[in-house]
Amino acid sequence: MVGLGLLGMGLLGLSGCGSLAGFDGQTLSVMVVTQRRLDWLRRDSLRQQLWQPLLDEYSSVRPNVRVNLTTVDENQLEEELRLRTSRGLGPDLLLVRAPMANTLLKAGLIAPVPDTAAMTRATDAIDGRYIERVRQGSRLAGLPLHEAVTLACYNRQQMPTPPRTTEELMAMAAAGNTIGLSVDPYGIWWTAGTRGADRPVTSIITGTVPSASRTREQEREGALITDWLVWLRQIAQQSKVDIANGPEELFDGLVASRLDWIPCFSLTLPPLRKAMGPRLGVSALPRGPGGPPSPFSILQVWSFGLDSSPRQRQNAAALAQLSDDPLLQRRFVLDTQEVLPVNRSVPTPVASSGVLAALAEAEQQFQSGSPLLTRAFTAEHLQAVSHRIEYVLQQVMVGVFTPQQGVVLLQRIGQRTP
Amino acid sequence: MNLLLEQVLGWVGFFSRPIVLEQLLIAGVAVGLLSVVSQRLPSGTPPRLWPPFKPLPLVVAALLLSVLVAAATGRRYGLLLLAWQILTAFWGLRGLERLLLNRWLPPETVHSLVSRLLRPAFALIIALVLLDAVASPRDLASVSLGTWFGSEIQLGTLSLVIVVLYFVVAASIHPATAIGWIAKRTLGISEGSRKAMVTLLRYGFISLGLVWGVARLGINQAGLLAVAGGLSVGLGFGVKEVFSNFISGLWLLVEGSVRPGEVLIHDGEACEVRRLDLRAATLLRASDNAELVVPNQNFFTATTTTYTRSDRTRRCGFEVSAPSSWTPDRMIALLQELAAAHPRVLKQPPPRASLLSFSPSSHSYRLSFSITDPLRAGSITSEVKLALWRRFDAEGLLTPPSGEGGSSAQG
Repeated sequence: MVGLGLLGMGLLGLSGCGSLAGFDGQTLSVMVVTQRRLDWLRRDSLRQQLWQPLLDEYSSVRPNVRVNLTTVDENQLEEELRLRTSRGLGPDLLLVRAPMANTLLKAGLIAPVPDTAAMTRATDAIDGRYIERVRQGSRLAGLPLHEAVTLACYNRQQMPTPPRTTEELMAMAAAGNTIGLSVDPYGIWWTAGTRGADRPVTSIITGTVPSASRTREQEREGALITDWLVWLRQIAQQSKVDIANGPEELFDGLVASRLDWIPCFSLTLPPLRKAMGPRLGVSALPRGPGGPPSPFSILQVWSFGLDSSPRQRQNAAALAQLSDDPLLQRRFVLDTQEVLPVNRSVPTPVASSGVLAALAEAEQQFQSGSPLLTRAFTAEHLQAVSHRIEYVLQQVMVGVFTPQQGVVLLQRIGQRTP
Repeated sequence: MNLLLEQVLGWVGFFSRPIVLEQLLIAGVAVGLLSVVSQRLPSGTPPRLWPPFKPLPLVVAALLLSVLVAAATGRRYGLLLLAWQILTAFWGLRGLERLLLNRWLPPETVHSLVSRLLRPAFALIIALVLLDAVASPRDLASVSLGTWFGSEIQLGTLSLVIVVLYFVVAASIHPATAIGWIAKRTLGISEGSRKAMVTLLRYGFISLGLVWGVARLGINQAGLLAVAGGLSVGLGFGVKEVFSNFISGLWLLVEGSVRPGEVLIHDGEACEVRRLDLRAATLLRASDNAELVVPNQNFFTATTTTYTRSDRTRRCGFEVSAPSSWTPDRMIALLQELAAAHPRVLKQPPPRASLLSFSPSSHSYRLSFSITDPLRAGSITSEVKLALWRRFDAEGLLTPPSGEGGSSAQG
């Protein structure tokens, strides 16, 4: 520690103390939790695109506080937090996805949102749908910041208008357009809704499939999943449908014009725009005969660490509340065009941008297509089973398992643990 | 750099946290308590039973006590545990140095291994552990230091290159020595060739490390060429001597005319080449054990007298006067017999004595003989002279040999 202090002093000396103006020892340690599958391209631009405007605003409100940002991958988060908290060196504030925040609160690794008058005002300003996703009884696992959803990205040069239905999508594939899909939550699970299998698939994701003897309802859900798996196998047999190994490959394929249409997560839009320019088209995902698609949604929330001093907790709360300020929320949405606001008084300006209209439509699809995911659920089951689910889907699509075998395996994976 | 500064500033805030201060307080109290207890122990207490007399063991024991107290009272102790782990590891490292290395390896090798490799490696690991405790090394690694030669240089890449190059420079001697030893055992090369091979291999490893470092940093080759162009101008002026010495060193190694282990005459004195480095050779002067640092260029441009180019024998000799009452035949036989009797004088070629001049009062002779250790020419010559004096004394000759003034050792 002494060495680090000396190092710090040395660096301060080297810097000419330019950044020390107004610094009185108050710091705020913010941990940004990233997910490898979504943030592989965004790590460098995270700060510039999202955090810098917020940090600039914050430094104008609290000029004497230095904000220290660190990023941690979601897979290592629990272990990292346990270790840091045992030392008293945990973050003051975490920017994390809602299911993970629920998991952390349940595990006692974060503190609930402070029950203060200012915080109550902040939560009151947020749309109740978002609050429900982090509510655990009377406690909140985090303060919602913004929401991101699955969309469709396509090459305008190859596909002047996006497909509105899965039939149109397959027709375009038959006509020569290359379609990219991948078996991860963002790449293929949206198709469950188009076959009417959104509810049973959501049960599998959240681990809420009953383990009791089969009921008529379960048989009906099993039939819907079978229909979905049969359809997946059919599209996998089309020569113009490419099953990629994750979102990175889809991204690269679209940028390199190997693929003409892919499902894309809204958080990857900025790098796609940068790489493709006007060639990039964005729309909501296509509907199917079974209903609207079931896009995946990520609600990012501010959660509070356990180790903060009272002053650090105040500073953390101030930053979290500031991020829900209506003007800043609107600025986030308009500047990035990749997330949706959570403040109820900030409507998504759909008229100004086709991308924002697509985002708003996708959010509606999520609300209607994945009802279980709109409630608070923890990430542990999803984290534990996502690779197994992807394995089963992959094996069904390449023909190793029959759809019927796939259903049995998926329902077994999604059974509620006693 | 601002990002880096913000990261470092962010760590300051940890010291304002109650939970961190509490752990520091517990550790401080434990250290103080054990210090007092240690000082008040009876003087006869065996140190082995109570190790925390020295500062490091005392702090290690105090931290362990702190961890136990904190755990027993349900407090958090991760920071104390981390400090205890680090200091215990350091203590263990010192124990390893003392107990194991000093028994197995020569002191110079231990010193080199410890100061250049083990402790720097330990310091590096501890720095990374501490960094990981308070920040994200991955984030720090991605801090941009600017654009050099058209490539963005990140702190992590630069640190990695510096660390790897340091360890290549510091540690390359060990694999090079091992390869040289194997080559000597399997191919039967001479000791001088083995040392030359070790030096060349070391330069090779360092060169590969530099090439890797440049590639890793992604430095634009056009930029490097520009630097090389600048250097070529510099070579003509300021750094000409340095470059000349470097090239001379490489040439000498390849040619094998001056290699580590060889014995040569420098400024009229026999010296052994200990090292041949980038700029200069280190010579050990046998007469006073002084180390001379001689620029490589000297050997490259001047005549070098060596005794070890083709073999290690050296021809020594001296002149001596004897009374004319001794016949030359008897004197020559005595001189050759005395030289041959010395254990370090070679039997082949045999010692040879010759009559140089004669007069009514005394005759002058010259004795020459061969030895295998060129550096010991002076001492062996002196021992042969001493044996001659004793023989003269025993024979009752009043005139001792005039070797002190007239004899000279030549090779």
